[in-house]
Amino acid sequence: MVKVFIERKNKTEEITASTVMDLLKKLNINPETVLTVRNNELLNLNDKLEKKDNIKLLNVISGG
Amino acid sequence: MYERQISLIGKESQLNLNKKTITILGLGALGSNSANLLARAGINLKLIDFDTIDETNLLSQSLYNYNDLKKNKAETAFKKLKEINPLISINFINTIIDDSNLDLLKSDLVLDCTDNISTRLLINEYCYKNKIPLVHSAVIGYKGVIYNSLDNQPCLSCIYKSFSNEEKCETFGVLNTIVSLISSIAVNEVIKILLKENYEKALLRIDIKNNEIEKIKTKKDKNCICCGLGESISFKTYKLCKNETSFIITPLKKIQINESNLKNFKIKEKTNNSYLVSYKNQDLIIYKNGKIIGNNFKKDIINLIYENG
Repeated sequence: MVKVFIERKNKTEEITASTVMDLLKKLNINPETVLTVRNNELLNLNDKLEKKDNIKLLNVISGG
Repeated sequence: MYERQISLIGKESQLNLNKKTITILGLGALGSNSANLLARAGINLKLIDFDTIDETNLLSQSLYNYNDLKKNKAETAFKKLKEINPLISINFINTIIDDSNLDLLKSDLVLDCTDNISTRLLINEYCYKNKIPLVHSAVIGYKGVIYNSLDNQPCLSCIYKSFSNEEKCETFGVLNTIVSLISSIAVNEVIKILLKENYEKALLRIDIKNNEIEKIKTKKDKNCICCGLGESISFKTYKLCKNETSFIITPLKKIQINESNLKNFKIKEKTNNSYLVSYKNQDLIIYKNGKIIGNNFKKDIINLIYENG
């Protein structure tokens, strides 16, 4: 299970997912609206996830 | 005027800064605050914005006041900054940046203070191709980000993908304190880059509600539409207007579109050089040279068109 903090909901969930894309699909989150971060490193959609990963889904900030 | 800065950076660095010109794209909250700091630091400026000042801007757009309402932002900023520092060169341009006028960005560095991802990605591509350092800054609510895209750093398109339903300061709100903080750090990074000093490599993300600062390490996306190598067909997206979600997609490779490319689309009309098609209740104009105009583009639509030839 991957532990994932969803900033928009201010909530942590546990979910089984093999890649970032898989994770976002299961959470029904548009990949364009979030940055996926693991251990302070930005992940790409095809990056693989490991069990016990701690993931953060941070909102894209674009105001000016 | 610069004595207290010279005592820290030295006279040679100050003379160096006095010779540099940077473009500030967007003279809203981040742009006006940053311009104020940069002008006082002795850096020549090119100011670009098309917008006018309204009352809600006065919370965080520090160059403007009640007497400036309805005036153009770039021109008003120009006049205020000229009074602040008459020793530097300042130009202003009242325009929207799109694919037709990107050369206006030519300068020693571009400071991104726009308010939408599409324009950010457009200027990212121009800066990447022309090797112009880009400092990206953005805010919303209690949070803000800064990222430097130059040298071998991952470009902005490695980090962000274009989308149209962004949270806006107009609707989501923003505090002037985060604007001030992000502007200050962004200007500090601009100065470091202009002086060829060690600049921040991470995506800096700051939350002033909880006083959290995150340094997020970025990495190149092999599928990046700007600097990636993995795309079989690369293309660029252009936003036409701030208040609409229209885009033009122009393939970088020379391609020819015919009806075989459009088998997943319903062709509603055709002319000598274009097709009007429908896909999932969305209308698109597709030109035979590969140019596509439509709303709310998704990458899968573009791939369907370009890869089904």
